[in-house]
Amino acid sequence: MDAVTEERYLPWGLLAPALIIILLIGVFPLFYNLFLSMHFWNLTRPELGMRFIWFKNYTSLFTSSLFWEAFLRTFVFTIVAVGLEMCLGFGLALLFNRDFKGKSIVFPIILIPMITTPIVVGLIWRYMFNGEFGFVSWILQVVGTDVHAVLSNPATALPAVIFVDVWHWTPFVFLLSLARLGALPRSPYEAAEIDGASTWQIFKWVTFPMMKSVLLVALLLRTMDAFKIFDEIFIMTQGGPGDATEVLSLEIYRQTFRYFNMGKGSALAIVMLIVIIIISRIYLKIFQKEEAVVQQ
Amino acid sequence: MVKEHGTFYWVIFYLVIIAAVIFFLYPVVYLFMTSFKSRLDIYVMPPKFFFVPTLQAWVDAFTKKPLFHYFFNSAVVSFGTTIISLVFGTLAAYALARFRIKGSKDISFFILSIRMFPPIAAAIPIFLWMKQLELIDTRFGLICAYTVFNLPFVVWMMREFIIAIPQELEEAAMVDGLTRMQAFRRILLPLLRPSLVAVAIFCVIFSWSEFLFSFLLTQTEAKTMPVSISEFITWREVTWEQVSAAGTALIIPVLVFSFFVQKYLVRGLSFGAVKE
Repeated sequence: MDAVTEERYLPWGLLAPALIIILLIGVFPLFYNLFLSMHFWNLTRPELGMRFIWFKNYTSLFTSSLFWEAFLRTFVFTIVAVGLEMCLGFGLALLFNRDFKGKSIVFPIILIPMITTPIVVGLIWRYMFNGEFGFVSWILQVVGTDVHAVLSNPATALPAVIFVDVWHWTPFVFLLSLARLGALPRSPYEAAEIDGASTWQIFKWVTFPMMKSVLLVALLLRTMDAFKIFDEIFIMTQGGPGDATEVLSLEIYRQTFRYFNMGKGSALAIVMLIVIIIISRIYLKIFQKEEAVVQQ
Repeated sequence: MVKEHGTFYWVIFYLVIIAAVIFFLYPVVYLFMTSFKSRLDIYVMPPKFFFVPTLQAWVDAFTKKPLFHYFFNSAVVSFGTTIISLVFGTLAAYALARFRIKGSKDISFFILSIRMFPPIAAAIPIFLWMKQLELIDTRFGLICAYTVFNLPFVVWMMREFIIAIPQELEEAAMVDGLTRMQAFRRILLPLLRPSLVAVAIFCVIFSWSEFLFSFLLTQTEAKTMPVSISEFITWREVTWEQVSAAGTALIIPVLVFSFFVQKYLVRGLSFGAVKE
């Protein structure tokens, strides 16, 4: 094999196994989803078989208030949880961006929630929130509120689930921010010092602009993950009470693996996919703009 | 920024740090403690902080359910998918980083976008197909499903890591008579070792923790630990002391492992975000 043909064909040979696996188990399912989403197919009614019904699954989704509620709930969950995680994580990173005694012990401790298995996170908090003997309920009692079983109260279930997500993922934002803070160049700070800038001014005009790109990355990754949350809520509330914590992932699960309504579940999955693609595109646009500004 | 701060400042500072540590650490410690409680010590209000520790819950959990078997499954599946993803992913990343391919950027973005998809969306077709291929409840089926999510991650990360290494080293070796693949194996691969470790850690942790696919694609034989934990929670009752033992058993290996490879973990996570 001469060098030219090698240059031309070798990379495709190297790419092939990965691409084949991704196409076979990653992309085909999506198209199959699309196909299913235009069919009526209920596994509990096998005699009806699989019938092509155009977009009826979608129209029935878009006209159902349950869907819009789940949709809105997922957005509220994502925005509030990720917003809090960004603020707390970044704030904590600013606090950690100095030398202090015990830093090397405290740092890994703060990362613990992040590497804890989501199922176990759900388990821990279901236990902590338990109305009869949970730790949080006890605290609430001591403080003097009359809220006890946080997760079985429709009014408090969603905030509680958001709280758990904040506990779980703030360390992630913290870690990303801290890593970047430690790698910032010193010279802008020295210049600001000489100019006599206040701490707040330094933060606003020096630190924050340089941190923007990493914060955007954290924001993107967290939004994607929060939007598709499943495990923690599944363990804590299964979407309940009623459907107070029913987010889109759980709704898909309910349609397909509880009601065996494959067509409707697939339509939901496609809608969710499209939303995720839109979100990622928006982020990408903002990100490219940021990079263009930085490079100027 | 060298500024002198007073005692008051440091008192507040440490109070905040201590509060953060308690907030993030306590729930995990609480789970750990619960696994050593007897049933009587659990169902009381206020919660007991001092109690006579017992191993009963651990014995019960591990004898009532074949947890060792599920542990073994978790380990096999995690390492299986990690190895497959690392081998194929690194080769693909090398092709994307070092060759001029038409649409190389599009291919990278396409591969990455697979990772963004909600697993539940892919779950329906994968479930139906695996049923047809009789791969339900096999470790192989689970390895395949996990690889779809690990592979894009490996390709994406390794591509970045490879680009960060100057190409001149390989070129020099090729001038000295090595073929491309020899240069890859003898020059690049040794330099990539720490990056490979970092990426592998993430694959292992992800697969070890994965719940949804395991929940949908396994029944008894190939069931992994996270699924068995969810099964302690039934409508009738939750055996809190036992599920705490199982939960602790599941996360301890990850926590210990992560603590020792902390350096790599931080490196892997922050790499994409930190590089200029």
